[in-house]
Order: sequence, then C-alpha cells, then structure tokens
Amino acid sequence: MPQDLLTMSGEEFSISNILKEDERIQDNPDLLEKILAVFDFTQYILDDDENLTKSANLNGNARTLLDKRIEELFLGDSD
Amino acid sequence: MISRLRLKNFRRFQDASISFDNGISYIEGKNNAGKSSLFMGIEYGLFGTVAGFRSQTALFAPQADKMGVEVIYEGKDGRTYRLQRMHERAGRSAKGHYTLKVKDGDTEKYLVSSDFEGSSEEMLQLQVFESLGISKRLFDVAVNIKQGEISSILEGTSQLDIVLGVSAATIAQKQLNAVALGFEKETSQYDLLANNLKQFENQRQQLELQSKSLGTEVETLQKQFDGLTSQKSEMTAKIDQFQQVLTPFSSYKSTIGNWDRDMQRIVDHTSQKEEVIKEAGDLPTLLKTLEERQEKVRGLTQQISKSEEERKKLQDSIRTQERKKGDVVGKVNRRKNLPEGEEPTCEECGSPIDMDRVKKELAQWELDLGDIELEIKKLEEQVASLSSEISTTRQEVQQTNQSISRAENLSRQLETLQGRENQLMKTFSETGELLMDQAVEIYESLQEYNETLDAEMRLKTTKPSVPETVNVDVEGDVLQARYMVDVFTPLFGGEQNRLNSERDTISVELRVQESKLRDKQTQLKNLKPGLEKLNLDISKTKGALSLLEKKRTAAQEMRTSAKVFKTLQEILRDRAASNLGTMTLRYHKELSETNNILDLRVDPKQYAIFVKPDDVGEEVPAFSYQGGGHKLLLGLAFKLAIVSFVTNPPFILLDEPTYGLDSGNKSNLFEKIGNLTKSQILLITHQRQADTGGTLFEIKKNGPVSTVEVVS
Repeated sequence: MPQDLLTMSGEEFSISNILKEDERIQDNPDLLEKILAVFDFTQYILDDDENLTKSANLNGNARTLLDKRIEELFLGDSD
Repeated sequence: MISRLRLKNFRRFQDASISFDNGISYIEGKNNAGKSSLFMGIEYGLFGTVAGFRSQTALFAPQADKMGVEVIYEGKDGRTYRLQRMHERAGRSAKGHYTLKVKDGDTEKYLVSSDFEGSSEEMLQLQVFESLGISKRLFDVAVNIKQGEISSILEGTSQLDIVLGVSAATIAQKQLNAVALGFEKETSQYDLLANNLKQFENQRQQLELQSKSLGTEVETLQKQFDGLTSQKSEMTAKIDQFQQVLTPFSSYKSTIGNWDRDMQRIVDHTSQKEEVIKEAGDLPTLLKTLEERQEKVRGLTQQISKSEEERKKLQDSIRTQERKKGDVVGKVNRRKNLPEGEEPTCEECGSPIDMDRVKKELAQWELDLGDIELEIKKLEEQVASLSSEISTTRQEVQQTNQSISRAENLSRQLETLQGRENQLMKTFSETGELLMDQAVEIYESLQEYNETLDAEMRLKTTKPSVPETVNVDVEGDVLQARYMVDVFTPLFGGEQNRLNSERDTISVELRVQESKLRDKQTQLKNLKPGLEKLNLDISKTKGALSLLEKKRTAAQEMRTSAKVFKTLQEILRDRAASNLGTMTLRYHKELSETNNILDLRVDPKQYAIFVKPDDVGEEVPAFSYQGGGHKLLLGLAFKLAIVSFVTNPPFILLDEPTYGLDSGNKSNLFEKIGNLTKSQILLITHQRQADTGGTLFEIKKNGPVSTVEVVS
C-alpha cells in the first residue's frame, strides 16, 4: 500500500488548516470559528439532495435556513 | 467495517446473512443472481433509500408485505453498531421503521429508534455519519463504486465540488454577501436612531429632575403627616385613659340608681307591712290570739258533743217511756175490747181474774199512763233545751272559726311580707356591696390617674382628693359616692373634652396635610408613566442601536468571511485537483499492468482528467482519448484517489470494477486492490481469475430466490 498517498487525505486538506493560513483571519480565532461553523452548516445542507434544486443550487427553504444560521453566528444571541 | 449483513424479503433474498471480515471480500455470482442487491441492502440499511429507486416498495421481494435489512458495523470509535431498518406496505407506498443500537458491554443501548418520540430520519443519519464518517453523498460519489459510473467520472463531476466543500464555500460566500448587504441597509438608519436616543435622554433628564423635586416635597410632607398622626395617636391614648377612668363612674352611677330604687321598694314595702300590722297586730300577738281561739273552738266542740250525748240519752228515755205507754195502752185496750164470753186473764200469769181486779187494774193503768206522759213531756222539754244549747254553741264555733281563718290569712300575709322584706334587704345589701366594690375600683382608677397625670401642672391644681378607704356604711358611702361622681365626672369630662377638642384640631390639620401629600404623590405618580415610557423608548432605541452596531460589525465580518470563502474555493479546487491528480496517477500506476501514462492532471474547474499517454506525448482529455479498459482503470484510480483524499472510509463497495478489463489488468487489479487502501473492500465480480486472498461468497440463484454461500 502506498503510504504516501494515504496521508494526503489528512491535515493538508483540512478546511480548518487551510483557513488558518488566511492572513485576514489569522489573528481572529473568533471569526475563524464562525467561518468554520458556516462552512459546516452549508456542507450539512448540501449533503441532503432535498435542499437542492435540479441545478444543484440551494432551494428557498435551505437558503432561509442558512441565512438564519449566518445571522445567529455573526450576531451571537441577540437575534 | 461492515461485519454482518442480513437481508429479509429484500429483492431476491428471503432471509440471507453474510458475515464479512476486515480486508477484502469477493462476491461472485451469475447475472441477475442478486450480487448488486447486497450493496443495495447496505445502502438501504444505512440511508433508507437506494439510488435509482424512487420507492422502497421496489425493493420488496415478490409477494412480500414487508422487508428489512440489518447492518452490523464497527464504528470509527471501535464500538459495534446494529442498524435495523424495515419497510412494510401501506397502500401504494411503504412505511418505514428503524433502530440503531450500540453495543455497550454485554448489552446493547438504543441510540435512536422510530419508536421513540421525537426521533427522525435526520437524527439517524447524523448518528450514522458520526459513527461511520460517511454521508450519503460521499457514499454515492466515492464509497459505492459502480461499474457503469467508473469511467464517466473522468469527464468530471459537479458532485465532487460538494464532497470537497467547494460548493459549500461558494454558497457560503454568496449567502454571506447577501446577509451582509441586508445588514448594511439596516445600519443606514443608525444616525437617525442615535439622534432619537439623544432626544429621549434629554427628556428623561428633565423628567427626572422634576421627579426628584416632587420626591423631596413628598418626603417632607410625609414626615409632617407622620408627626401629626403620632400626635393624634397620643391624644387618642390620653382620651382613652380618661375614658377608662370615667367608665367605672358610669357603672357607679348606675349602681347608685339601683340602690335608690331598692331603697324606695323597701320604703313602699314597709308601709304596706305597717298597714297589716295595724289591722291585726304584729305577728306574735296575732298568733297568740289565733291559738286562744282555736282552744275555744276545741272547748265548744267538746261541749257540743257532751250535750248531744246527753240529748241522745234523753231521747232514749223518751223512747223507753213511749214503749211503756204503748204496753199500758195495749193492756187497757185488751181489757176494754175483750170479746163477749171471754174471761179476763192475768197479763202476767194468764190466770183468770175477776172484774174488780180488772177495774182496779184499769184505774192503775190509767194512772201509770198519766205518769208516763208527764215523764215524756218532761224529757222532751229537756231535749229541746239541749238542742237549743247545741245550736247556740255551734254558731259560736262557726264564728270563732271564721275569726281564726281571717287571722291565718293575715298571718300568711305577714309572712309573705316578711319574706319579701328579706329579699329586698338582701338585694339592697348586694347593691351596697357592689357600690363598695365599684368605689374601690374608682379609687384605684383615680390613684392611677393621679400617678399618670401628676406631672401635668394644669391638673395638679384640680387634682381630686381621693378617699383613703371606702366605708361599708352604705348610706354614708352612697353620699360619698354621689359626691365623687358629681365632682369627678365634670372634672374628667372637661379634661376629656379639652383633649377631644385638641385632637379634632390635629385631625383637621392632618386632613389638610394629607390632601397636600396626596396631591404631590399624584403629581409624582403621574410623572412615572412618562418616565417609564421614555425609559422603554431609550431601552428599545439602545437595543436597536446595539443591534445595528452588531449588525454593522457582523456585516464587516461577513464581507471578510465571504472573501475568505472565495479564496477557500480556489485553494480547495487547486489543492484538490493537484492532490487528486497526483494520487490518481499513483493509484493508476499500481492498478495498471501496462502503466502507459506519463503525466496526469485534474482540471480544477470540472475535475475532468487530462492525461499525457506515452504514445501521444501531449496532454489529452482522458475520457475521449483512452480506450474502455484504460478508462476503467483510470476512473477506478480516480475514485480511489477521491475516497482516500476526502476521507478514509471504513469500507468501499466495488461493483464489477474489472468488467471490460483484459485478463492481465484484471489479474493485476485483483492482486493489488486489497493493498491500496486500509478500508474494508467488498467487491462484486463475475469471476476471480486467481486466488488473491480474502473471503469469497457466492450468490446462488434458485428460481426467484437467491442464497449466499461462503466458498472460501
């Protein structure tokens, strides 16, 4: 088994690690956390075909859910 | 890894169970034997649906009303999970049930079940994802590798964008910008709200000053009011004290009234009694006279009895004489009326007698008759005399008895009067005693009164002199009591009136003060709603401003985040394309017997594969240029690269991956594929070409039903 290939599915491709390299948020762990949460939630929505249109865009309901989640994350508990 | 699969009434399987080991398992069988159904069973078990089947009813074995699948797998955490899922026909559709349990020691613990209230398919999927690390999409794109779809992936797939997170980054960027724009529009009102807040705060400041001033006034008025209330209470206490002193006086006056009444009753009674005594003498004299008369009656009665006895004797004598007279008359009549021819006989011996003797006897008898009649007359006179005497005596007895009766009546009347007198005297005495008790009470009350008010100069001059002791000489004490009542009542009453008047003055003042206080309190109270409304407006405006500030900050962060996501998309695409290209090439080198590709690149926009074959020497699209077998190997290598790149799945399903390969490549693939990944591999094939290790299962077709057998 080519061990060098198997390791490539690990740290290098981690979204978190990629984002940490971004200078705009390097000193803002709070924002990093929010961005990761938005990413995870979007990914969660995309994993369900029922949230997608035929052209693989988010349908209205899924978009509303995502907008609401974005507002929650960026406004904290004062929604 | 999947350790066990059970299918019941699922497509061709009535009830089949397969236990898998880690490593590679081969599933062989003829066409239409049901090999792919095993993978469908795994897909249905894990996700509840099977790609290409719109309804679960298509998965039912013929004539079956229900079907079910049980998947036992080892999770990422090393624990054993049992996932059971079944559907039963419900009209044209099917109703599903599911249960996911995890082994916990010797028992199994429920994680989620359709029987639990609040459970949902989403919760189950989340549990499956967390325990296995596979989502349905990843399963479709990379884990479940179907022969017919292997080559087509060389043209690229938009699904990979989703799996890699590029779609998520793109959509997140878009929605972050959209939400940020909305927030930015809202924050344009910030200045207007800030100005409103300033005005509200100025108004509040004015109201607070007004409120503070009124508060001070209310406080001062309240103190004055409390002081007056206290004075009034003291006055009331003093008045009550006087009342306590005066209350016994009132009772005392009442008792004196009773005493006077009792006295009058006694006077009236005495007068009545004296009239009786005047008529009959006093009781002892009356009783003596009564006794004498009774004695007289007894004597007269005895005398009557004696006379009556004597008269009876005389009457007996008269009757004796009458009998004698009768005898003599009889003898005379018998001599005179002797029948003719009959001889007279002796009246005593019956011997015949002569006429002379008859004549002599008649003469003698005539004389005897005269004597007898005389005697009778004399006796009758004596009887008449006695009868007269008796009658007179009886009259006298009757008169005496009448006088006795009257005397007895008077005696009883006197006794009654005496009893009444005793009663009156007793009442009179009790009233006197009560008078004394009350006098003592008054005395003690006065003592207390003096002690209490001794300090007050004005009262000192009129301090009443209180008797040291109270006499039991009722008449004298009553006089003294009357004096006390007459002297002290006006004195105390006057003081009480003075205090009442003073209290009334305070009451008036108190009402005036209370009115002022209420007025100011009302003014203060009326300020409150305005102040509360202002506070509410300020609070709301501050809240709105705070929210706008947050939104302003949030919008800035969202814009930054959107930019980050834009960069992320590019990085993900580039890195994924680069890594997938490298990995695909390496996998291909392992899988391909000929290994004729010099270089390989993945297009970061479409994820299409471009290769540089050694016979061409330049980059060409893999899908249009390569032959069927090469495309299959390249696609398989790409799939393996994707699955390894994105995650290390616990298992990979390969459905006919060798279909279309020449025997050399087929042998090579069978030899090497087991070593290309740490994941468990379940591989469907028509026929293995060599013994390449692993477990071999055979699906046997028996009419409409299929079974599974372990071959080696």
